[in-house]
Amino acid sequence: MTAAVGDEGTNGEVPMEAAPRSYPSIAQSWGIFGIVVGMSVLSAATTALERWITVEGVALVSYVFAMGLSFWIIYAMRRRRTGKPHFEFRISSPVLFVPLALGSVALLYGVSAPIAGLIPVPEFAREWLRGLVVQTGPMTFVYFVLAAPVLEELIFRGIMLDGLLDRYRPLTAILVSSFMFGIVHMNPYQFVAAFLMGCFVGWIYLHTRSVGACIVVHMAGNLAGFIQRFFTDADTMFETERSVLQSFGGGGAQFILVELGLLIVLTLSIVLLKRRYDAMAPVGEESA
Amino acid sequence: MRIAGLVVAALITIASGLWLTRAGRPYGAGLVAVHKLADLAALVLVGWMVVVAHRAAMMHTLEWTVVVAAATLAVVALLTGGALSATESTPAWVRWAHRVTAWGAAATVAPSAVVVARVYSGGA
Repeated sequence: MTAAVGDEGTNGEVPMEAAPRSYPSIAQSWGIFGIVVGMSVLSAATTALERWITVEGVALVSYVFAMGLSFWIIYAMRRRRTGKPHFEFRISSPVLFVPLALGSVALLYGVSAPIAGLIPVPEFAREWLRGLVVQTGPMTFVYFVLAAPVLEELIFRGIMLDGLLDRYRPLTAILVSSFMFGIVHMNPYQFVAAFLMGCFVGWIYLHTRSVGACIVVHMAGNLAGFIQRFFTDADTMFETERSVLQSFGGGGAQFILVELGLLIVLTLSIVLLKRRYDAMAPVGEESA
Repeated sequence: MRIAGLVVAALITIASGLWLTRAGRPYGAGLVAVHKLADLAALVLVGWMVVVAHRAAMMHTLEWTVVVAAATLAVVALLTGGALSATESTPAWVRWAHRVTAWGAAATVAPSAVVVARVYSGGA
């Protein structure tokens, strides 16, 4: 059952039959947030493994431990509450891979990077970011391009947004899940990218209810970020207040041209996806 | 400034936690948001200050113990609090664990703030 926009009561909550069986509410989403952040901080203990495996290996183990365990706990909670055991992974048409992936990359470099570039970077954060940029091994690929998109999309779209959409207006549900997705990254630079990516992916999930589509978008963005590391000079990239994109484009007219190009790609991707989604049967009706 | 931020964040976390306990379930989304965000802010500030102090090698073993105890208790409190908020029926031991670790964190955050203040002021 899908909530009708405009039916909401106070706090944007939609009074409906399915609401008591849906999970989570906004307050429960904050609980999920606490579990994910708590597990992430606890997983710092895995740095003790650096005696035996590489730094990149430790990062992968730490991430899989934190997010895997969080997912397992949250999934068990949802299953007990709603009885929903499955996630939808199908993507209606392979052709959609193109606008999904291009839209993701254009959003990351055309919108997120310039905004994040405006945030001042303190010295200790520069060191940390430089440390990340030089990680380009296979373990980082598995962590950043495979594990992160799958686990994060399952938690934040497959469980959190899915439950919020049953209770609240789509805009409220997408903004809340995106905000929490942004803030679990625990730093302002990644918050911007994660929040905007969360909004884009949330909009896709609203129309498809497919975690698979969300994973494709997330993977494309992270793959672009991973490839970028091979072309980035870690020693100089945070020397100035310029954004990563500006340092690529060279500044001035080049920056404006690159930015314009990316915004056109993003707009075209959204228009194409919207047309496709408008032509599809509304989510939930095909099974009714 | 960061120490003042830590104290304010800790106070907001404690006050909103007490309020949530009194109000009971179902928890209000706004109040839970304030509670979690203040707790996260306190954790991030502690983490930030400890990393800086660690790099400068300015903390003694006892001071490390106090700060690590505060951070560990705060993280466990965040986890158990997450479990409390995320479900409508939580096992009694989770509620008990949350209360113990939250009060433990509250008790150790003050000496931790003193330690960090000493480190930042450059005192021995």
